[in-house]
Amino acid sequence: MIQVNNLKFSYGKVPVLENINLTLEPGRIYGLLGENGVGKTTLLTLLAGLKKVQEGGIDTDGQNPYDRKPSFLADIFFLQDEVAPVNNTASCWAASNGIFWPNYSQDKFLAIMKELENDSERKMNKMSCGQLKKCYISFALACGTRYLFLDEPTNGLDIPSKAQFRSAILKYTADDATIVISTHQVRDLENIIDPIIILDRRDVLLNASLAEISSKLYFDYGNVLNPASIWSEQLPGNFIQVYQNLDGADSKVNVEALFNAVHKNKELIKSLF
Amino acid sequence: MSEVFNIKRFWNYFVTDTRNAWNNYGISLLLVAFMPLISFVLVELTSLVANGSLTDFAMPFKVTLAWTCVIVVILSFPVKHYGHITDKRFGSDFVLLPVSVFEKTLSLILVSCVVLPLFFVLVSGSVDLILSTIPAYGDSLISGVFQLFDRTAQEFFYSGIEVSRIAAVLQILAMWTSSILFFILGAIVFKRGKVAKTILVSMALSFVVMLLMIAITNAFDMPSVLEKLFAVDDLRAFNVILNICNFVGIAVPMVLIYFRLRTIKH
Repeated sequence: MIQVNNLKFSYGKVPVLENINLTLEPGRIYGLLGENGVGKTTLLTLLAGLKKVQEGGIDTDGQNPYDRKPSFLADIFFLQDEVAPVNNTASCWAASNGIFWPNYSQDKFLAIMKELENDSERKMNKMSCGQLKKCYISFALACGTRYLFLDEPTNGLDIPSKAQFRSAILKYTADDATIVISTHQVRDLENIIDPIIILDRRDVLLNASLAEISSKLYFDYGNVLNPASIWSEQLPGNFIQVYQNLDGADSKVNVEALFNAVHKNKELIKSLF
Repeated sequence: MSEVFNIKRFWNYFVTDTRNAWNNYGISLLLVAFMPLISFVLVELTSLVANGSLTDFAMPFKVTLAWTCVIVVILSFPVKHYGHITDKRFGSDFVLLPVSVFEKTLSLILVSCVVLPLFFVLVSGSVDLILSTIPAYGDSLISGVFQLFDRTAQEFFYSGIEVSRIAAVLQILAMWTSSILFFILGAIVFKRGKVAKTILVSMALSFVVMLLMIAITNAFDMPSVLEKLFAVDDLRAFNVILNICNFVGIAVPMVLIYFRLRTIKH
């Protein structure tokens, strides 16, 4: 389990994260959402130990990520938004790096590469951005780590690859793995992320499961605009609108609508959740 | 399993590091190691075209060429193989590889101070030895270097004193080690202008050390201190001073490299 306590981080004099408190439990795929520059990538890099916390702390199963102990690093994988084009074939690179992760499987890597329709014998520095991303996604999933942090994993992927990625995440990760996916492309990952974390500038606006969200907010796809809606958008032929679920009715959470509703009604959302 | 050093994990990482060094720098290293052959061919071809005959490949030219090749390797290898550590993409992968900082540092030292010079000397030396069978090439570089060393040592330490050739080789290795570690430190500290900034820093450090030496010399009447020191056993005194300089020149960059790798952030 990952415990984030009163986390504070700034770039020079510019504060990015302030008073962030989170608990990331095993067996969940967290969607980390937020506007540009709110600190999603910064939070992931802090969780991975790439940066040092300035105030507060991060506890990952009793370890401080910034200590970067090999036992901690062997339990995590951080997939960056921009990945490195190594001068080696994908299969050789994966085989030579995978040995450092105890649960890594080369067969799994090759199987995922095949599912993502990516050539494992091609040199990585000759791959397109999308192909390179798929290579790293395959490696990340093949490592079989307990903690997986993915920063904009669907950036650069074509439409079929996004579906393949969703399928691979569910198929190749352990049931007790903790996965945190930072994304702007919520529609790509809508069906796999649960719970949802929405970051604001220096604050956590929302950290709730889909069940909790749908119990407190109603997502209406009707034709009639509800005057009590806290956010709405006109679609061809109908509306998508969000309002408080006072009747306890069931509805399917629309993550994009949720994000917009949360950002437009920050205080209300914080009081509800 | 120890968090600081595990032999199996270290060995795996060392092999990976060496393989990556070959991928990043192997062709360049081979090109530099074959410079005796390339330059000999170029010189003799030019001589044939100009004079219609072969010319002697002079020893001073071979020594200068060898030193130039060494300098090229020391300046280029650190940036090519370890410079990516300051890049966000490559550097993050490096930091997050499940290997301890001590093991990464030890591998870096072994690759750059043992594997690299050994490979370079073996290849370049072999090429040089094979070429020395050609009359126009003359004596091999190694024999020429030792002759030069013997002459210099005798002039410096009075005739009749034998100075160990092994000590000379060790001194060259110490100079290689301290130089390449210094440039590796520059490659992993500076994001841009790695070589130029490292050279500027070394010039600045030399200037500071020079000022310190002037101050110490003036404060402690160093000429008489040194006269007393060298009067006892000049070779031993020289060795002590040289070893202190070598130790500082190697230990300081090693420690700084370790702490830089320990604290690098992306």
